[in-house]
Amino acid sequence: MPGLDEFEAGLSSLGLRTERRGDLVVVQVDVPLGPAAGTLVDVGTDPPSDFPRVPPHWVHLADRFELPGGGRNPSELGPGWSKWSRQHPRWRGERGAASQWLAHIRSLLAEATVA
Amino acid sequence: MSPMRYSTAMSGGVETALLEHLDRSDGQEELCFATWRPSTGRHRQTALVIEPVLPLRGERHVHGNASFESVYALRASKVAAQREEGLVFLHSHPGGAGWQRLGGPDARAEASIANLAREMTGLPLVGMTLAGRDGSWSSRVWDRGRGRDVRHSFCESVRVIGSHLRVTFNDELRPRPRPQPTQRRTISAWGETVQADMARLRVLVAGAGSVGLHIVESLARTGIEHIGVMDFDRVEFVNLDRLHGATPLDALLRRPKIDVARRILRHAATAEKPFHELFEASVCEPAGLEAVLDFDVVFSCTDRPWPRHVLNTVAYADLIPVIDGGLRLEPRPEGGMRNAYWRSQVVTAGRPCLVCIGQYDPAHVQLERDGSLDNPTYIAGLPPECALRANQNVSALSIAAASALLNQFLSLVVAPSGVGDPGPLRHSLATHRSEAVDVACVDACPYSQSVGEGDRRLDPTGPHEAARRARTADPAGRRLLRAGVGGVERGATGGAAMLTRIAGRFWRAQQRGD
Repeated sequence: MPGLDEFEAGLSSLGLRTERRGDLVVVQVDVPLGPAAGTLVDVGTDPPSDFPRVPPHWVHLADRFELPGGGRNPSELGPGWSKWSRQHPRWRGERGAASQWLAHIRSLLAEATVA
Repeated sequence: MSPMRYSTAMSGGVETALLEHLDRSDGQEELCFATWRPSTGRHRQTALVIEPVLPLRGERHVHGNASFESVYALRASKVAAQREEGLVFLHSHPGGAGWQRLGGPDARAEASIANLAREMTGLPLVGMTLAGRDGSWSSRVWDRGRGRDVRHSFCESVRVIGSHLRVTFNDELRPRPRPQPTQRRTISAWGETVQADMARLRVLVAGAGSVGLHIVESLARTGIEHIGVMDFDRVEFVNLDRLHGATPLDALLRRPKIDVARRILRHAATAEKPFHELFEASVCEPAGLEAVLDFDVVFSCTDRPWPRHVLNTVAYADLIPVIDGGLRLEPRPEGGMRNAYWRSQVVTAGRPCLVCIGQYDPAHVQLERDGSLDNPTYIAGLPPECALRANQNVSALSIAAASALLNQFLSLVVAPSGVGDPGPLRHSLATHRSEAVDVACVDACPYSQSVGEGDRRLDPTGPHEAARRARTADPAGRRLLRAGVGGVERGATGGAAMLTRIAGRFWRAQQRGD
């Protein structure tokens, strides 16, 4: 799966820890803004085999997070997790795209509420 | 399983670089090397010429003919090996025109480096000849034998994707089709040579919907010999307001759309030896993509993001021009229509890609892959203005969109007055105006940077649940009913075909004045 490898390598080069769980990758994201600022949050996603041409779509978060706009779905990561349909707004698929995805996730977490 | 066919392709930019070296003003022969990458389809492998490796001082000699030092062949092979590409040997015939056969001295020169090229690069040597009088290319692949017994197979065509699509055909492997009396008016529009070249293009229509089926008929009537149609979908009653050639019986039987295409092709073909391939598949499936790579031109008649993503990928990576288009209707919420637009564009090397044009959003591709776009609950949850919810369609506008795509095709392959395809166009129903969409790829666009990647492309395919389900979901009763009705129809069609043949013979005899 070259796309998953590239996704993980891109995030590793940014200093983030990743863990593969089946077809999903869980990334430990440091959150700079919002209610979870200053903490490390596990974020799961579905990088495709042709990442970075195509971005991951789903955002898997622990149940305590609520994203504005709704759309909570059961997550393949199991109990305690939910997944949210959140597309990247301006994806172009250039190399080094892992940082684009990270910025997208950080902006989502900045607007999230935490139970 | 038929043996693999070969072809060669290059972008206009690569051809220009090669011509600057090979096409000498003093009329002498010239030679050089280049590198190539494979693009492997179901029945055809295409050598994509990538990078010229021009001679340094003393590496080749021009003396009416041209010859090279072994150090040049060795250096070029090393360059190809370092790039993990194959080696191409090119030479010119300044007085030649059309497809060039391989004479004894030229064959010996290529044979002398065929083993070196294969051993150093792992890929067979590709030989190419430029005919200086008309700019035709010919090519062969040294794919057989070893040692002194190395032999070549000729390619069937060489295509160059410049301001328009120019293809040189090997008349032995792809014979010039005989003009048919039924094609007289068509041929009178552009002459027998253009007709022969157009008719030999292998053309795929991806998507047998409201736009695709009109295109299928037009291509068949124009005399294109090899037409492929790919679609996994079935006819439904809701399609009948716009699906060309579809009947209520097709909807009742939930016939595959490719069966409607097959019927249209059978009735409309004017080619003497038509060859129609119908694929009940999606371009998004690995086997679907493999089939796409056998074609010279693809019509993209799909409005979904994933197939557009696949076709956008091959348009650049495999140098297969894709003619894309689509409809957007804007109904007023209170009733009435605000406007309707249809767009048309050719995407391939030297032209903006479908992402940069805005024809699909890569962020939607993964949604289609996981089945969300076929999930009514997911679609219902999307905002009303979301493009993914749009499903309006009108027969008359489908015909307009099909016409726009066909006009792009004609400009691409006929190039009236030497002018190729016009770039992306947008047509507005409200104003009845066509406007050029002035857009270019962004600097770091990964598609425009992937020209000639061939088999190295990031694989855009995957398991396609909707296609699999469509192929297997029919209850046994419906399958039986379809088979029974199909048998009756074939009997009736056989009788009609016999009458048609008799009418054709009568008409031809009349034309001859018998």
